[in-house]
Amino acid sequence: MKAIEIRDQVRLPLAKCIELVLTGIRFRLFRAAVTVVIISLATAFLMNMLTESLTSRRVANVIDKATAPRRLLNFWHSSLTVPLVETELTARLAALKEGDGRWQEFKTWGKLDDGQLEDLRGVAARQITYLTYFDELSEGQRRLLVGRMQGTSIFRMLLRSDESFTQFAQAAEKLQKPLPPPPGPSLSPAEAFRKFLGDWKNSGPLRDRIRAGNVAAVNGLKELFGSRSGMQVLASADASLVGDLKKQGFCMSEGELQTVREQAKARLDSEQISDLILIPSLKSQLAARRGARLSQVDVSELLAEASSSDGSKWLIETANKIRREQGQGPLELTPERMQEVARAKIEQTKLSAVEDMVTHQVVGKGLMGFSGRTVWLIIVSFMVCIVGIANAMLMSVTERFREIATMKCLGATDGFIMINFILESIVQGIAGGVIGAVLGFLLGLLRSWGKFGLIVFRELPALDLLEAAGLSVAVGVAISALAAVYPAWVAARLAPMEAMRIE
Amino acid sequence: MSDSQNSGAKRQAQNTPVSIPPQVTVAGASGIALNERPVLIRTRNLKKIYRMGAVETHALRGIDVELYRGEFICIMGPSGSGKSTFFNMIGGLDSPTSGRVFIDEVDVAQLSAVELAFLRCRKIGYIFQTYNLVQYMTCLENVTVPMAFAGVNSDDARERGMELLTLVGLADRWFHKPIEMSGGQQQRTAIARAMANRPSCLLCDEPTGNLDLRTGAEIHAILHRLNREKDVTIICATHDHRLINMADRILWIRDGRIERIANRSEVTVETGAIGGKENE
Repeated sequence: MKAIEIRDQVRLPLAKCIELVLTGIRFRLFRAAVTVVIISLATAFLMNMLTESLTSRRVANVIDKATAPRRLLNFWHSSLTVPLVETELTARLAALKEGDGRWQEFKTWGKLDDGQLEDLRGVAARQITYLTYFDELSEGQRRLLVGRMQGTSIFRMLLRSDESFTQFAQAAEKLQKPLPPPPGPSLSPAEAFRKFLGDWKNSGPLRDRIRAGNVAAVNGLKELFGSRSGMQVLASADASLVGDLKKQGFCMSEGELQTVREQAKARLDSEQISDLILIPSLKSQLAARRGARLSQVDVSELLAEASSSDGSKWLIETANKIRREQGQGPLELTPERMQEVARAKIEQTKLSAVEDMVTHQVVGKGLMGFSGRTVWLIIVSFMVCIVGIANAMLMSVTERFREIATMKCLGATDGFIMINFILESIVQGIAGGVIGAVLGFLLGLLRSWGKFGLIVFRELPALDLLEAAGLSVAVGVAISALAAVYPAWVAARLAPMEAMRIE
Repeated sequence: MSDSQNSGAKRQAQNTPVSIPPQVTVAGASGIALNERPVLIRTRNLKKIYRMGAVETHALRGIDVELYRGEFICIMGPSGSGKSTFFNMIGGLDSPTSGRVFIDEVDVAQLSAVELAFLRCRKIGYIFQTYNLVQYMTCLENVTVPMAFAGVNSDDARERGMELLTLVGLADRWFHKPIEMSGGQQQRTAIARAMANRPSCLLCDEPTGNLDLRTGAEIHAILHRLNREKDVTIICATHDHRLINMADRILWIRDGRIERIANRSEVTVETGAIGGKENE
């Protein structure tokens, strides 16, 4: 008689396992549906956040690029016509980069060398950090620390005596919001602040020098411009203007020159067009032409008329007629130019609205641009899902214990049972993840559309969104697999004798 | 033998309990006397203690028994006697607290979990009172599940499955789900499934407990045929007298100990009759 040879039980191939799992799910569709719903909700939540964040970022970038030329014009216009104030100087100092135009300008005006300017930059950067710190304190906290002082007066107050600083430092320690950390490990935050105050005081004269130089430069330009407005000068800017600016210390690059000139011209033309609305007779004629009431006619109606070829021709004719009657020269605009400028102005107005919306968005400091609070919320929601799914699976295991025990009697290994349950969970995770990603994407898109308007559809960061969808599905699968581990282990440990009931 | 037995019984159809004459021989299919056959399952001082908190329950208090290859043995005992525990031990479904169980001279306690799974897959077939078929699989798929676990490829498995279903008389119902079959048909499917990997023995836990007398008789016939023609050892836990009637030996367990083992020939089995008809 041959003894039975005991070998290791054959491992069931993965395909067969999957087949068994799918048949099982088809049979238990309702229970599976519940798990799928849970996972799709969690995944939709995550995908929604990601979509909103990604589309916001993309819209912000687009706006940024589109408004850059206009911002450049505003920068140069104000730089050439208005002297620097203290806050503007601080901001520019902090943002200095060695080698760009501003660096050279400050050196010239303040008669400084590179080292001194670098120091000033450091002080300015720290100043902004400390001012932000004081701004972010609550009203009560600030009262406690510095009384009713605000901004740089705080610095002046603290510099008055050693005693006032020590008092401040002690009060600051007791507060829950600590002072900003020091740049190096050798100083405590209070000491670093104190050092800053000293540096700030010492930098005062140098900053005054810069400002004095700047004031002289702006006055010099006034003489140069004569009776023309800054905008008019810029509209006809050329290489010789750059040379004149250089004499006064201003540094404008070749690329900036071109952009500024175009933008200035467009600005002047646009002002010409908008000013037409101030002519009463033209306004009433425009109202009649467009079939609107006089009170309804505003700049947008004017621009709408000006952007069409017939409208622009009519406007120029009418305006010139009126101007001739009043003894003025004709408009310096061609119909084509008017159309171009009017259309650009309309575009710009649309973008401004979106720009406002974008600047109100808070860019968080946490993972992927989410605020720390959002990240915490997401983690908690996933934990809840894991518990819910584990619960549903445990119920499923309890319902099926007879089936599991029978399988074991037929030769299933513990590992097979475990793989079976986890595979089941993964399949549900994939289904739920895909559904959730789609739902979350649509929801996020809808909300972004509500916030920013149609620009969202024109500028979709498709590749990023696809990545985000993949991530969401992966997360969905991961949480469902994780949730299934404990129930699968319980199922695998089940003794087959549960299936035998002899009574 | 069964025919003469039945006709004998019918001749005595009355309102009084009928005494069924014992089967003629305990030789089994191969004609070898029982106690000269190789031992399939052997237990040595088998003990099982269940501990629930502070309470200790002695389910088995030392059982020494030898079960032979090819025999048909019935295990009887009142509720709580340790019958089910003993059944689990010899079926490789549970491990003893002390003592040994040898299946084919292999100590079951020495086997790892994976090897135990192999044992249950290939060497032992299980038949339950509640059939325990997989509800979402067809009859044929149910029968081929153990073959899948044994690594048989699906074509061979299907062929063998149909063979087995023909054996139990369900060839034309291979595509039905358990919910579409009667109790007797489900139990027959279960028998076919248990035979899937040509096991050495079948463990039956009240196979006819949920069936009426006529269907039960069909099941008995199948089991009897398997024992005689295919030399499969059959170990039953049952109260059904007609099944006991087919047995080679009968084992009584009481209070965790073997009360009595007897050959069938030494035992009188009596069944009742209703209105003169014995098998209805």
